[in-house]
Amino acid sequence: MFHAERCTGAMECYEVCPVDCWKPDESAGTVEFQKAVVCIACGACVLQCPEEAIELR
Amino acid sequence: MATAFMRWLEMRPSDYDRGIRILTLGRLEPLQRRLVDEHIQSGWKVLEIGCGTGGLTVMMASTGAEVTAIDRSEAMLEVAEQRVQDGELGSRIKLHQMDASGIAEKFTHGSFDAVVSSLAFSEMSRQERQFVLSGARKLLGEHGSFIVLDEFQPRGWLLKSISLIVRTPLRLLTWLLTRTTTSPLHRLEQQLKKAGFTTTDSTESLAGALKIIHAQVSIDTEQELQGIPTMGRLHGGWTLRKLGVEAWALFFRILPPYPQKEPGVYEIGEPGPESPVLVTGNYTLTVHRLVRAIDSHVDAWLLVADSEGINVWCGAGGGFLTAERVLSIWRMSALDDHLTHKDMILPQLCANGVDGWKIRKESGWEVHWGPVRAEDIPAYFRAGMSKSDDMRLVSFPLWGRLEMMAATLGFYALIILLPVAIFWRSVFEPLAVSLFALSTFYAISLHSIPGRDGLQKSVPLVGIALLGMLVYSAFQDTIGAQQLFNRAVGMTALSVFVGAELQGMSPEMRGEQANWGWEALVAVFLGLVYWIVPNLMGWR
Repeated sequence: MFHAERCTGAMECYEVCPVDCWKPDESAGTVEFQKAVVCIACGACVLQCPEEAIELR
Repeated sequence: MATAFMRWLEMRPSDYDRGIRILTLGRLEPLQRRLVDEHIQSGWKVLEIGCGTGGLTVMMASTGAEVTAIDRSEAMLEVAEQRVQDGELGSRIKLHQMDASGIAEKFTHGSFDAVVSSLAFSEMSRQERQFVLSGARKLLGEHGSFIVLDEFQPRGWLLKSISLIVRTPLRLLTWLLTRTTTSPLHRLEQQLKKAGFTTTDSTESLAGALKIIHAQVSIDTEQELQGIPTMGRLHGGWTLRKLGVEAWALFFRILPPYPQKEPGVYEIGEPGPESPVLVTGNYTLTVHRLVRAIDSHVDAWLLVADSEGINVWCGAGGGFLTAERVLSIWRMSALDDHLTHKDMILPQLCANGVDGWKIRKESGWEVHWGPVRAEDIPAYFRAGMSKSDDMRLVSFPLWGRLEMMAATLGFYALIILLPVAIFWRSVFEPLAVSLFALSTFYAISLHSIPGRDGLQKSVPLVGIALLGMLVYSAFQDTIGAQQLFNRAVGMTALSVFVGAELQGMSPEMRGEQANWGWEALVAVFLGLVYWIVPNLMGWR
């Protein structure tokens, strides 16, 4: 579950995701959760997001 | 199943207390009582390092001391908190969840009359002990006492051999019952002296295996540790010892004891004040691979944090490799005072458990997430510490799959095949052959089998296994319907089981427990089929 409105573009999720779930949106300076199907629920993005915008469900 | 096994390995606070009672043959509590009676005075301010479930803490507070107790385990502290409440000692006891390495930063220097520790120093690395002792020295006033109750290695070959003979079965039994073990201290007196203490008194129990050591602050020798306390240089070359560890790990890496590197700061090549700082866990295999990948390419400082011998990803996921553990080793390294930069590179795969923001906040250093694979580190530096997509993503190439297959087979051999060989000889051979064939086939063809996870992939795997079984059976002259039925049920169960196991081993799929519910359903269904069909067919 990604609360996109809280994203401030720290890009930590993109940096730490080992399966390429996050797609940086260069123009908006934010990210998009693009590949739920490959997510392995490792929890790295949840822990590193400084805005607590990501939840595991 | 490997995950179920790992779960069983986890220790609970009640297990710990039970385990310690067995290991110390019930001598710990009387000795703690003695420590309090002989060394703790009413009204004293006492810092207890590693209070665990709070047994000693409560004893000290009951005699009138004001106790500040720290421990890094939240679970242990919860039990301690309950004890404090039960004894109505809340006004005299303060509990903090923190690592012992942080005491000199957290508490006011010269503010304690005594620093006390029971069975915590034997859990630290040599370097950590020295650092914590120096910290304790700073917290004590001029007449402060340091009192430690711990397990010690006996002196002299005779006592050593007796201890080995008595302790080995005791340790094994304790570990099986409670997953608790300890490693006795040696040469603590030397470390005390180095930190600025004079040993004044010691009380022994169990032929010196348990000891209370009382030390006093030495007036004139407050020693500051100089420079970076390096543990030595690591080399990428092969040695006989390394080969042995790797050979063992190839088949038995799932089974403890996990080979551990002593935590601390190490040198790779000839690092200087500008060299990068890399962080990793203390699984020996991880350290070997990392050093092999970068030795002679990059000069670096390597911080080996205590992950209890577990690899970076699983260690971080399981709560063993944490920001606290990284900060602990970082503090001890004294790198902050000696380097020209403030950047540390963490393995990307520990991001699931090591809170980067906590490290940034507490250390003032910048955290960089390095590549997933150690082999990519030289290229990562060549690119100016930036990662290509390839370096960020996990992969599970054939070589890795075969390696994991070897590890599961080693696990099956000991946990499943050995008992079967002893108690159920008749199925040993078909079971061993099937496990081997299925695992190999699965490992090699994993990416060609349709399905997103182990459970989905086990559907085609069941089909292939049944086909294989039928072809094999066709070459046998006499085979009845009942035998064929038994084989089919067996092969189906094994295929689902092997599929689930490899899911647990793969970095590309969710942990195997994601499908436990479904697997349990399959097991129940197969059990029913195995029970009902023979009755319907009149085979029984």
